[in-house]
Amino acid sequence: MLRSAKRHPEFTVSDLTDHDGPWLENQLAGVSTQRHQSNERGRIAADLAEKVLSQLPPDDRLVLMSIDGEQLPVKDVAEMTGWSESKVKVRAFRARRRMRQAVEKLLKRRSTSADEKGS
Amino acid sequence: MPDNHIIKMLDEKPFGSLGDGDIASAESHIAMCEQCKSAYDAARVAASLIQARTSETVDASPFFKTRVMAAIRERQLTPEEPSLVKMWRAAGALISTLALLMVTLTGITIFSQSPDSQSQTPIVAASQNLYSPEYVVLERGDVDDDELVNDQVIGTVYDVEDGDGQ
Repeated sequence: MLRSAKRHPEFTVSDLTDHDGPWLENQLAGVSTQRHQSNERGRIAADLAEKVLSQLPPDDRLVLMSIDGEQLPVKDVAEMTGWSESKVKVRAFRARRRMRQAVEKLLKRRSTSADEKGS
Repeated sequence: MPDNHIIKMLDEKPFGSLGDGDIASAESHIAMCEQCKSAYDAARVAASLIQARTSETVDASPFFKTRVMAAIRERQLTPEEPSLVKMWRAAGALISTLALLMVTLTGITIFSQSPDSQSQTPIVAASQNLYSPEYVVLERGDVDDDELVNDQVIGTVYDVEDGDGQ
């Protein structure tokens, strides 16, 4: 395995389970979130989230889960981690960008593979 | 519309905290900008994933539950110790230390008094025991001895005088 691939593990479309693909498609199609409230759907989403989040550095995951997930204020996260508030903000900004880019790549690959299957 | 790209806005704050105005401007922008549309979709999906991961409750495995319940049952079945034993375990060391200290102090007190009384000088002892019964009796004895000696002397003198007078 290449060193760069080891450092930045990528989540590929082949890693998606049979449930992950439809979940992503439903999300993109804007299907009502109430339909996804069942435990089964929640578990699929949580598994997929775990797969995507595992590509991020631990600090990024911590900040994302605390601020975006638990909705903790920046001040609390700064106290919890011992970082300055500005460092937390910068970390959160970069973590969001990395997470968004990872999902974006995944969606692009997903649509590409769906097109190939269709043709 | 390169100046109004919404990518920076998407990364600056959590997707869920975007206001209605932000959403409206973003949606009007993505209608014309394909790059921002894919970023917006990805941010929305990422936010959903994070929410799903946060709200996921982890159920303990049956094996873990069994072990916890076994530990609780074991603790309940263990006979409870009498309160005195518990107290001794809690304060035994302290009580032992105090007892040892007390014995040591008593010993020091006893053994330090005897040599002091023996090492006193006779003058000091006499001054201290001047009016003690022992002193008076002893002194009286000396006086008696002296008086006896004087009587003997006087008797002897008178005997001598009587003898001379005869």
